[in-house]
Amino acid sequence: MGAVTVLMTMMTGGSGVGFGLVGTFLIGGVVWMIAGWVERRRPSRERGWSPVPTVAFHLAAGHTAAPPRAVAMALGRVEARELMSSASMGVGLGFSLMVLVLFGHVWASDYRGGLGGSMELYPIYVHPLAGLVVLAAHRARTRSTRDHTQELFDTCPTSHATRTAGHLLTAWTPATVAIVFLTLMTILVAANTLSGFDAVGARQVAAGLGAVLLCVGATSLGVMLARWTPWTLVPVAAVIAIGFGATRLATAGNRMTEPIRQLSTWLNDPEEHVRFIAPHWVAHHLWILSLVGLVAVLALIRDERRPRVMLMGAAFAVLALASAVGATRPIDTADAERIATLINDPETHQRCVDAGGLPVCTYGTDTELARHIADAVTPVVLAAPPRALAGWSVRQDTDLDVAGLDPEVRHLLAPKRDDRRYIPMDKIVGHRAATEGARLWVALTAAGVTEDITAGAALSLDHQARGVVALWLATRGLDGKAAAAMTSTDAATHDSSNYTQAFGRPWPDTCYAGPAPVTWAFTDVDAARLLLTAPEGAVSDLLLSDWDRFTDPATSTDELLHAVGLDPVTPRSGSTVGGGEC
Amino acid sequence: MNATARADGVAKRFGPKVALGGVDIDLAPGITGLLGPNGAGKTTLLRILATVLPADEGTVELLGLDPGTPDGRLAVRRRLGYLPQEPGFHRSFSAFEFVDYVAILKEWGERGARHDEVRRVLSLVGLESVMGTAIKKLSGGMRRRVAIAQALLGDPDLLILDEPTAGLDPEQRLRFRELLSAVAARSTVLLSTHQTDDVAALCNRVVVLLGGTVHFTGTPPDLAALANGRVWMDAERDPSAQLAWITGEGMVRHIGLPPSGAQLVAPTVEDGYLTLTGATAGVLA
Repeated sequence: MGAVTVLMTMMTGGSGVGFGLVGTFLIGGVVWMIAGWVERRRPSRERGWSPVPTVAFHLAAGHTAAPPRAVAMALGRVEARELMSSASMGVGLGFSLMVLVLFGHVWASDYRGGLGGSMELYPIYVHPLAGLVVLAAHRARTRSTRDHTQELFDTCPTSHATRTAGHLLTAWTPATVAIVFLTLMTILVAANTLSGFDAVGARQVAAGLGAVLLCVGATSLGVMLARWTPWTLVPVAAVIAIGFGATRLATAGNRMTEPIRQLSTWLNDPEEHVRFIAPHWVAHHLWILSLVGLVAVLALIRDERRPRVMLMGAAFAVLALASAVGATRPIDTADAERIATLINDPETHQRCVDAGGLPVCTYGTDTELARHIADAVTPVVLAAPPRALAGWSVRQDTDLDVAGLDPEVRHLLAPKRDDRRYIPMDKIVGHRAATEGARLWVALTAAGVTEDITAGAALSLDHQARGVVALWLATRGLDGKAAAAMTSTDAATHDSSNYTQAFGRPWPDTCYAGPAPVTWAFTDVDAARLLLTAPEGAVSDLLLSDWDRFTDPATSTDELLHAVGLDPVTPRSGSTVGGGEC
Repeated sequence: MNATARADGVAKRFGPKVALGGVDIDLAPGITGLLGPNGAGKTTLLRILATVLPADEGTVELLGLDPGTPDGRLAVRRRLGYLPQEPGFHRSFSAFEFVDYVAILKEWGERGARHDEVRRVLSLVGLESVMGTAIKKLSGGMRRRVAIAQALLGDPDLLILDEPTAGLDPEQRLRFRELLSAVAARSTVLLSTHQTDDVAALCNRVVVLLGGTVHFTGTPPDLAALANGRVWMDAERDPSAQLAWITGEGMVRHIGLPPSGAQLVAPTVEDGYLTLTGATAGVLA
């Protein structure tokens, strides 16, 4: 534990040691050189018949024997070709393609975390590929046994350890595949979501690199299992066991901040909470790196226990212990304070764009989303009198599942202020339902409804003209079809694949637009649809001329229709309800 | 004799079965043929000399080195060519790729030189036209030649071949003899075979292994001479002969104690070998 403490202190540049990573590398370099010196001085040791090549040797044909490193690299090139052409890799590529299409294209716009959150999922995206790489690497390293070439190869001067090193060097192949796969995924996700590359920071890049590292580790695992347990079903069992174990870890406890999750090979979906968590991602990746290194060392020491390799094993073991402790430690105080201020004081941390005089504000990395929302709500804002939205702004919501935050962050949260005139933009994605939710929120605010809404219960707007005004406002700038969809109560005729208003209610899908803050009587929705048939200019002039009256809760729907010159709609019972739990 | 490989009192057991029971053998430059019936211990001896197996007892010296030590074994392997009795192949590899793979394992790191060497040995066995063909598409004889080619990589000083001509057609056998005789001009070759005519045609020494021990060491004519006065031809089968078979000319060739007046013929290596193995088994008096 002392070594772990020292290592962690040095890694973080603690004052007790004082030279951080540089010192670690310096000490490591010295130890490495000493181990090399010891290795050169001691007689070669081996298991069974495998030799340890130590000196250059002239072959009978006058050819100089290549050093083990060159042999391993040459073998690595051949084995990389074989690995790439293996059936398992083919299946892995197929899975990767499927993941690419589904998560990069089909479902990309649904994902609430945007590009940044999506990148944090890259490690799980490569799991199918990595699993099959384990099988492919195992089969490659056991090929000589399966094909009965072992006896012949054993009479060659190349040792088993060098051959194992050659197989370990094939890791660049799946790593390259992963890089190509993740690059394509990044391009697709960036094209299909609204949070752009400004949402990508060191943590997200590290997650991408961590995914590549997993493929390297998969190769090492396959080779290691082949050396210790060369039976066909072993890698299958190992992949299944690791899959279950990693999933169990990744889904343990609290979704956002459970520390033990950092020990999994993949981390659970941060979605829109990506900025409100501060996992110890460096330690997590060091943990994965140390496991990969340990597995590679285990593969090598099956046949040859050289001091340098043993030293590497010891270093990886210490690193594994230190990084496991580091990854599961509580959130750093500075991070907790930073997250708390993001929530307590969003004005300081958000940037705004103008939407016809209404500021639309998002956290710094989501300005592309802000522009998108501003474009969507501008027609709504312009259709209302300027005073109706004076002092209001649309803001990315911080109404988090507070219980999911780190306790250290929860501790620092201030009571939520109710004097803010925010229109909450609950979800931070460019999904159409979220956009329509923003339009409705702005319309409801302009109609004076927002201030009457209390948290936890939908406000009934039954038979109130302002509810109809809000629906009419929300449809400004929409084409006829979209406007009709927003004011439809006919679930049966609705296109269920378009789940913005799939169930015959104006409020769109709550997974993307948040819970419905109001309900309308079916009669009012019918009235709004009727209002859409009237000339837009006439309706607009009428509403602007007597805005206070038509947004007064006491003004009925029938009064509004009468003022426009429309007949009252046929009364029918029932109100729209929200979509319930997402 | 200036021995390049030597085994003194080499014994090997597999559980209760004694595969070799104290074998003494000296190999000098040239070709030594190793004869013996199935189960005589030929393959076990070859595997020990090829550093595949350690001996349980006795000492082995190869090319002046002790294969019992890691460095000695490494040095031997760098100068060794070996053809196992049943060489496996990576069947998806082409002939070139497989031999190239073995060349890498024989520490040919530089790609250009290695590929030149691979092409050279494949040409030696007449496979230059199919070197790009997958091994699984090659005939059994062609695969055997691929296996021979890999053993020739780097002109090894010690070449150990376990039944190299099995599966080769007559033309290829002759070509193999030509090739091996050229190799033997500078190397020590140990050839295990059941083909006594190969031994007669190629080998300057022959060792006969029976029941895990050496029963004969000498030249092929010496082996043939063991049957001097014990081989005769007759038109009819002589029931007193221990072995008799009808030859292509319709005469019956006999091995055993000839009756008086028998038409004795000059014995071959095969006759000598059969005489030796028959005597050992108690078949021949």
